[in-house]
Amino acid sequence: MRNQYAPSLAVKAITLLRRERRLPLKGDVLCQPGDRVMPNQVIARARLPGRIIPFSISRSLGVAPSRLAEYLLKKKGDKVDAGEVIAKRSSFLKVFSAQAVSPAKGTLLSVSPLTGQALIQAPFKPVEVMAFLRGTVIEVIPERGALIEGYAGLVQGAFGLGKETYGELLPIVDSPEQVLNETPGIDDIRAKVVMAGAMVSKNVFIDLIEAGASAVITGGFRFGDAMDLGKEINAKDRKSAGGFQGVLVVTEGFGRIEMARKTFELLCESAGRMVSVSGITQVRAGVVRPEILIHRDVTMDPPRATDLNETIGFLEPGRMVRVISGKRFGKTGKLVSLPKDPQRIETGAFVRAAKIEFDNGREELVPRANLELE
Amino acid sequence: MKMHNDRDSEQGLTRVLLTDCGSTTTKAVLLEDKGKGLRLSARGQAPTTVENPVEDVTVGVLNATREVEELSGRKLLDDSGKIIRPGRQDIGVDKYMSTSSAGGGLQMIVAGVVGSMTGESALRAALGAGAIVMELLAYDDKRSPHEKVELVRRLKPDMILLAGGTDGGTKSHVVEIAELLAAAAPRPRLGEGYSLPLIYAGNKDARREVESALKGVFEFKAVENLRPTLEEENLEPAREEIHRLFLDHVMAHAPGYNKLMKWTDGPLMPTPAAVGAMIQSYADKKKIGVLAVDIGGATTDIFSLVWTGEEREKPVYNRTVSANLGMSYSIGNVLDSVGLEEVLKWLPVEMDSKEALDKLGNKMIRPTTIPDHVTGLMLEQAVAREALSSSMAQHMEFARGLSGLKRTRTVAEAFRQKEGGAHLLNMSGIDLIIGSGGVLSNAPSRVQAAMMLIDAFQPAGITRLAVDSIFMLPHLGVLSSIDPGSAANVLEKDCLVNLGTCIAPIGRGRHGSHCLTAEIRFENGKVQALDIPFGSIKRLDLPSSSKAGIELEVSKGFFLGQGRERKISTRIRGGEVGLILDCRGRPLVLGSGDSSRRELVNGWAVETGLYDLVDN
Repeated sequence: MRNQYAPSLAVKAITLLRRERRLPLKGDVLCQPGDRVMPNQVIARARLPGRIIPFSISRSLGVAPSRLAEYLLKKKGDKVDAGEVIAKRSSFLKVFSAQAVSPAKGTLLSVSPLTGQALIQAPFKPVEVMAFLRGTVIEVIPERGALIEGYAGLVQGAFGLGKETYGELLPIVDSPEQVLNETPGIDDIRAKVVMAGAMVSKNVFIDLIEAGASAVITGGFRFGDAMDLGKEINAKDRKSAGGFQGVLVVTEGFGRIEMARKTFELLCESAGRMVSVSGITQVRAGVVRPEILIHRDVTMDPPRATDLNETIGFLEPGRMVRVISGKRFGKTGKLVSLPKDPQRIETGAFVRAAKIEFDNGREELVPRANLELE
Repeated sequence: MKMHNDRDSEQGLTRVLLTDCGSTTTKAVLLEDKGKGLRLSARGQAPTTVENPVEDVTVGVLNATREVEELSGRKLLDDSGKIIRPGRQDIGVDKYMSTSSAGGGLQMIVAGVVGSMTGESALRAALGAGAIVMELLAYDDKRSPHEKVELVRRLKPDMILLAGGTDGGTKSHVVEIAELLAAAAPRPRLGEGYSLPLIYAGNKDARREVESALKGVFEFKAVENLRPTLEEENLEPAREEIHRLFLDHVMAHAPGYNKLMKWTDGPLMPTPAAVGAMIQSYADKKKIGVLAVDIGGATTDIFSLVWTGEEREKPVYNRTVSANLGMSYSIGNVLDSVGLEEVLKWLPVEMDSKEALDKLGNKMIRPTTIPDHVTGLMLEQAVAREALSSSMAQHMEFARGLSGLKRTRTVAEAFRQKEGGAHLLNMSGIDLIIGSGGVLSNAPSRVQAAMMLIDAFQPAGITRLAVDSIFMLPHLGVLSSIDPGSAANVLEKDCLVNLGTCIAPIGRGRHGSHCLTAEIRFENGKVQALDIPFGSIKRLDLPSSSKAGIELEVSKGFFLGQGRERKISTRIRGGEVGLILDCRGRPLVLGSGDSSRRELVNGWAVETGLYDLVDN
């Protein structure tokens, strides 16, 4: 029988990656096929239309929508400032005069002769897309972006918050099981991507970001804290143009969970390297996981062929696996066997299971659905 | 010559292949007539292939069909990988039909002038057509115009339904909404380079102005006003147009669907529309009130068909989808909307709240994992109770008695929609509750599935319970469009697992005081008499194949059905769980105080045999 495919979050010292980098709307692509690009290099740029502010000129002037044209001082497409008069009704008696002023700076998009509603569009905002990956442009997507290919180390996370950032990797713990409940005193944290261990509290995360860190990587995080933080980030995004700038990547899951040794070791070995970090997470259909790309100059430091050996992701005896849910969450062990028939587990359910030998030598049945390859 | 009987397919079908292309899994079933009408022959499944790297839904369909081939031993695909039709001798099938909710199903924005009137009618039209409604916009909602524009811009719907105004009424409000939609110019979710479809079903006199406001931004389609007068609702033209655009416009941009639509012998149906069709067809055939639920990872759909009128002659169908209530992706929304305390109140054991939150968060980010210990299972099933009851509350709020076809009501009724509609969906009018979705269908014990349904929906009076064990309702729904008899036959024989009957007196009393006397006459002649006090629950074995006579009498202050009966003599059906006599009260109220509440919940769990380890 063919062994069961097991998805797992990638942890690779070096691998060949492709990343499609796209603008959210049409714009200008600033690179050509064959160009060498750096992760923080802008490769495409667009102008995001500013918000639309509707308001009723008809009501301000007290005239029927069909007669508005007589009173307009601005025409469609004109630039207007906040507070600038755009329509005026004069009368010999001042009390019967009225004017309509623009509620915001922008462009007059339209005035409806049916409803008397005017639309002002706030100025465009620039949107830029970085290469994110150090490599070569292999294809340009007209008016949208480019496909970049390059070698990098890769750590996929389980959950993240925030958008994308770039910085120098800085481990601030000594072991993967270390918990940070208090903010450590670090001299120079500005623009650094900070790496912690088994857990970081919400307050420590905020302190680190406010001290200038561009991102925090941790094994575990409290789900309650993540829910609160998510709401705060959304609120900031709505209020300010730049929004919340910090990025969080949780490599294992929610709770106090020791960072996988392989992940911890790779990140420690990569201390001082430049990394790209994405906190973007989508758990619904079309799953998007957060990720950390560890950059290196392959012309100076080429990958060895053995580094690039891709292993096929199947559960099979002898493979090291990691438990991703339940009583043994976070523990690694060796897969001993894959019983063919469904096995009864503690809940009473009959499920496809695997027998795993853990570090203490004990063998236990674990649902296959709760395993990923180490 | 073969004699026709109830089981024979009305179409003379001997072999039918049906698929449901879900967000993650494509499920194929083969129905075959081996002399007893169409029955389930084999079921196969494969990952849905709408997304990268395959991006062709038909690949998943063929993979699932190959599994069916292997399991049934029938050759269904020819050498070029096409479904063999028409069937001949032992190969191929007579018909192939499919449903789809892949890529998130049909996602819509609906808009109206008055939220509680044309907005609500538009919502009903969209939900009835099988859509997930992302947002309801109304001229009179509390948001400022620029907030509405920002909101529409952020969303990426598949389609917009715009209603508003009665025919001959004010035009400016609906035109104003059209102008806001045009200013927002939302982009379609699937594909690029085409205009988003917008259906206008509002004031017919404003059609020209609305079209002019939307021209160049949307693919504009106008249909009859869905609210031509205040007291009249006409949803069918809008629903038909939604279905047509779903196929011609939305699905045409989804990967591989053009090919799939050429394969099917009938229109591709949105999955929820197919489930709704099956529920309506079955309830209509049996003349029973049905409540069905499908609880998924992201959304929870509730379907109900109840009968109104003195002779129960008028069916009222409603479907709602709680787009943000579910067991994995949407678990955070369940917690946000009800609070962790409401979830933890269902646990018969103590659990640290931070630990509980972390467990639920991990389910959200790794949806395919399963609980491997009893407290984890209890927590997951506690969330299910809250997700189900919140979805039911939304359904009750919405189910206001309009069936969608032309219906007339008085102006006074029109202004009393909430009050009028709320009376139509009364739990004592529900004869059968059908549960579907992983947490119910795959619960380690059927008692757990039954208790989740009972705790969440609080059936009143006498109600049968069942689960759709292999989620075949969509397949049977699409089959019911051509062969309702066969669809009902397969539903009863192969799809539904009878859990049993729940008897729940309506009312509340003093804890420990007498509530119900029951005398049960089993088929083997055994008679069992029970007196059940208020606040307790009792489960008796009564196998699926058997029925029993039962005489029930409740104490003063309680009653047993819509007619406020206090004494009933009837026959009940058994099931894998049996008979549940639930005297915990309607409405069901859990005790206050952590320890007394836990003691109560633990007592019920022990009595019903809910979890193996509870009495430890």
